Amino acid sequence: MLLTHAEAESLLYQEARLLDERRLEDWLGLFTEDGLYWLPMAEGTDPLREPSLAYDDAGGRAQRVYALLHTRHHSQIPPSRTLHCISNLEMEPGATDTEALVRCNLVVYELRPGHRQQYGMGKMRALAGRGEYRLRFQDGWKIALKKILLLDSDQPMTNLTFIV
Amino acid sequence: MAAAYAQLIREAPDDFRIHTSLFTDPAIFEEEMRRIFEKTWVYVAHESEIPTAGDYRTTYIGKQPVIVSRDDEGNIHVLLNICRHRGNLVCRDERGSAGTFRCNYHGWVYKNSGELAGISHPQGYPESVGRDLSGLLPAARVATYRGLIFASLSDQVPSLEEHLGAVRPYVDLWADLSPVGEVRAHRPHSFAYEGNWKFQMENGADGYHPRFVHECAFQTMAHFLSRPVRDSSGMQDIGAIRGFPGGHSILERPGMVGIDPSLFREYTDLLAEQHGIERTQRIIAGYNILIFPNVYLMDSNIRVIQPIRLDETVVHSHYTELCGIPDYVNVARLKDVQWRLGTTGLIGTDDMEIFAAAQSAMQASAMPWLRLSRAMDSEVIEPSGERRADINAESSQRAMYREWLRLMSAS
Repeated sequence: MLLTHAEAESLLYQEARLLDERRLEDWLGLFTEDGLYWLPMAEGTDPLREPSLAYDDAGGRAQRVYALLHTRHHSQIPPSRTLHCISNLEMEPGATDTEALVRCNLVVYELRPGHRQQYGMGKMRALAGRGEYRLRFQDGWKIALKKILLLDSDQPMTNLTFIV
Repeated sequence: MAAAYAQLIREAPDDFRIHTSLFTDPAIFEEEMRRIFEKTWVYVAHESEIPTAGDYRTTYIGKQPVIVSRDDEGNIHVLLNICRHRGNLVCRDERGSAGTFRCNYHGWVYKNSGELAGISHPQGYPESVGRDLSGLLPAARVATYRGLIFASLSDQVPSLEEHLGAVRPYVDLWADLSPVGEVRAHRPHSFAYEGNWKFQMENGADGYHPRFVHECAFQTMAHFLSRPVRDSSGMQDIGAIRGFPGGHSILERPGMVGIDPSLFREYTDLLAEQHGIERTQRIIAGYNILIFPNVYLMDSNIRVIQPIRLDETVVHSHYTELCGIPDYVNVARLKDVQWRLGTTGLIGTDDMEIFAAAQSAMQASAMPWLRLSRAMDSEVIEPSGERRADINAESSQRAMYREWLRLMSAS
């Protein structure tokens, strides 16, 4: 059965909710075993040979989530509140029963609550990017690749320690 | 004003303090740009960023916009990015390749060597104008060392080699991480933090903070790595800090930080072939090398510090690929440096959280003095001026602020 537009939307919404509710260990479960979370610095780069903002395989994602949930990660104390908004969802043609490519736009609002007198606190920020999700059917539809190219991916970033 | 700076850095044999106004006074920031960044050698780019004729990148020396270009003959120029006519930027792009730069205001054209190539509708000017305005203003001095390009806007500086002084052999060790002595600086992981530029300068050769600031990274490594954590800067007390005249310093610890060279025999054998076993051991030891006033060389990256405002700084952390080594070693180095010091990495980001918090705290005027006296009593002072102490010493920061004071007080 081909992945429907509604199913793709529902999977991405579910992911957004898990991230926003900081259910990060559940988030790990959305990926295939060989799945990748990739924030490239520019279009067309080779993630093994050129720098990315993030390029996480399963091990990398597990470490990132462990650091966020179980360690003193100062730039996430207090943790970022986030709101992931997904729109402009399009299904690429050529999908099969087991593979689909979904494109979307992503806007993430982020806030670390605190005194506005303190740098980095009390100010809402917005990140925007283009998303590319490769989904694979493996005991349900899973994320084989989450690639987000941020509008400002090659610009100086401030505290990008939450998951986009 | 110059004399007053001596009041802001207090040094006694067992006490070293700096005043918080170094972080909170906008006038001091402006003076730093003039008296430090416009008066000494400043790192501007790596040669590998402009590998072929016509390549350029734009950057800043303090607040001064510059173009670092390679002309048609392959010579490197550092040119002020301001049209000689009415002061417009002649190049807005961060990097690219061009034979000429054309001012988009009135169309004056400059060669990539800086030479004025043409004035549009020149009949409106006396004939001498082309001679008087020979081209874009060049930096007073430009020099490269092991691929690192430095420029000085003042000609009252020693040679670059002399300026590097005692830190130069460490730059050699860093460049020799490539058996062919060639590194390629990639597009940087770039950060903007809300804090003064000196926080990052102080931090990169500070061996006292990692076990606290980087608890997250150490806990994560300990949880996931099957082999013992090698990063001694945070977990052990071995290693050293060396502060040098000129404001430079070294944080030194045995063994590379992120990757274990014993896993890469093919790579270390290549180094040993070139340099012998003893020097190879020195090359692959871990160093954070601070070259005052704006660059760190750390194992797999070049970390460039760009002051923007009193309370805003940009850091460009360029991953450096090593030429002449097996591909898989570079793949491992990139993965490691990105995980530690990249934009979403676990180490650099927590440093910057501290910088923002420190900048926030400096508003507390009841506590105007910051203490940098750690290990003053045990510091070994060499005839060369090098001061060496254990890895938790604040010898690096003291070296830096002595040079800060020298430059800020110079007439």
